[in-house]
Amino acid sequence: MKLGSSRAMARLAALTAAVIVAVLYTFVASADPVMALKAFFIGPFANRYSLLAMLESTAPLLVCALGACIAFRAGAFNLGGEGQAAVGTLASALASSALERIPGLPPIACIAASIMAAAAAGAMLALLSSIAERSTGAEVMLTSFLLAQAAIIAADWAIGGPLRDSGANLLGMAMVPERLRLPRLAPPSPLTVAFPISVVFALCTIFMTKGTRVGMELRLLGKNPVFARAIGLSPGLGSLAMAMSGALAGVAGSFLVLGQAGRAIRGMTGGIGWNGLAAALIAGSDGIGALPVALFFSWFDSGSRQAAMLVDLSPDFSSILKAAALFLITAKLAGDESRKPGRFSSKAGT
Amino acid sequence: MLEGMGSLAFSALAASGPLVLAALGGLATEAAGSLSIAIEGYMLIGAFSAAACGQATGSFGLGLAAGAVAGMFLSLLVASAHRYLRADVFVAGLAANILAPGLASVVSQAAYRTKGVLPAEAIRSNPVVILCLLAIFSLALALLLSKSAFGLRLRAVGEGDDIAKAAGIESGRYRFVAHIIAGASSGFAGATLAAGVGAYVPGMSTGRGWIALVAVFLGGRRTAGVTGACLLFGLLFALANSAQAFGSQGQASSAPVDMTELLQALPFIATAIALTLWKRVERRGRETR
Repeated sequence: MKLGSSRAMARLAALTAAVIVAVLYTFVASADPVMALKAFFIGPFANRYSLLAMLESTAPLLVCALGACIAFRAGAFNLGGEGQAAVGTLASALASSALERIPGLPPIACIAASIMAAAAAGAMLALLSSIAERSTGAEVMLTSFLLAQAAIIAADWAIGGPLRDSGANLLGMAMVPERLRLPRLAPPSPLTVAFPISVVFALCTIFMTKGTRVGMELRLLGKNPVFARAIGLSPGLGSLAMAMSGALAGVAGSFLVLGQAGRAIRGMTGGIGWNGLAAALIAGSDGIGALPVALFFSWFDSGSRQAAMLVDLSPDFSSILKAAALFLITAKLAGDESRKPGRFSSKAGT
Repeated sequence: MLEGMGSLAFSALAASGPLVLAALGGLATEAAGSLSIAIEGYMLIGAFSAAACGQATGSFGLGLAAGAVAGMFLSLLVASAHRYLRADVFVAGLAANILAPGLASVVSQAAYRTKGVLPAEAIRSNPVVILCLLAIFSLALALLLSKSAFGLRLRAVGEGDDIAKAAGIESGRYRFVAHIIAGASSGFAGATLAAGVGAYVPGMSTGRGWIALVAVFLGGRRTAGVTGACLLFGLLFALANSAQAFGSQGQASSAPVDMTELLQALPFIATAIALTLWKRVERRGRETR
């Protein structure tokens, strides 16, 4: 228990350090630092609309992070989350537009099918890497990225090309009809059921990693693959973790399509796979920390956007904050090592 | 026809040039036993700095140098986190990859009031000149890694801290230097991307840093092999580009769907397949031995 709380403190320290970076930067760079800081710290919480919008944008990030957690848990470095989310947006939009033509289909079934189509697309893309590793030993870390990059190009091409809604100005597909999108919880805010669903996913992930046999086996596999094979764990276990990881990234894509945007837009994933990966690395692979870290990240995004509107700051400022937190998270300060058996333990030495 | 082949060969060389230099930088870290996945980030920040500095000073040389220096600074961050804070090198590398585009965007917004394309005509230059520079630096780095005492010690470090220690080498310091080399070489490689088109375009490294890492594995962790793999990938990029150009030329008529953009995915798919097949061959080789 002691150990758990000290790790939580380390995460909080890393995130706080990132916020300090934000404050310092605003003082150096902004002509009106007080205004910028006010926008950054208070803006996202200032009114109901922006608060709920922040929660809504947490949802896809959280499910992506959970997917990354599961892959890390099993020792698989799935670096393809961005592409898995991208095929998720495409699959979800395609499924919705196909299903809307079926008369008499209840909207809830249609929405569920659309999300599942996205999950299947993401899972299949991730599985390819896992299969390649199992049959030949090609590193998942590299193949997952390469295949995802190809998938992003293909999805961008499809969404902005043959499937594009030529009536619209955006490079995007046709709108999904309102009734087939995720139900809104508090109009006019963009909050949909995506957020509560993502929290349920988080609880399921924690339960799986902590309370089930599969979760324990995944951890064994991640800790020591040779031992896992020796005691006869199924070699399909790693593939299962990769598939789940890709499926969750696909769901994130679906949330983007069926949420506020209401359509698939070229390039709409905007780094969500990488941010999910970063959030998972900060949160730790059991999934418990994923929700708070995703909320922090979402606040970084929202605060940066608010500050960008008022003062001359790029909204991409938030990625500097995320990177700062990530730089610090695995840092082992002097004498700390004995207390922290790191997942990424480096070679003993010096 | 012959002329077409010649121009394809040249564009293949031009595409592989930055890959080779970046991959050799990656090889330095891999040889030292701590592969840096931040090559992509170094290339991107190198491209941005080259465009920004080149445009500010009007100098081609200073622009390219700024690219190398920027890559070096970013790698200094990774190497310091790795060495002094004992941060995991994978996580620190990922952080660098997330930091690079964000930093470019924020600086660009602050200095140029745009977070999009940053034109830098001052550093646009003849592709032959760029290729020669890349070739010289790559050759120097390859010799350093494969023929010098430094390179030998670096590989000793990669064999494990105990072995390095037995040989009287302080491995932490060598690993640190390997990361700085990777930062400088990838930063310079990124700078040549910006010099090639005379502008910084957000995301212009488009996965080249990752392809360079694949080349490190495919090339069997040897300088010659890595260079060969990069030449192959360069050819793929050149083929995809020329097919796209060819396709859009004949497009005017009646093709219902423009497929040419899709060709850009080919290098990535081919790289993944090449890696998988190579691993298969490698494994077979081990089994029959």
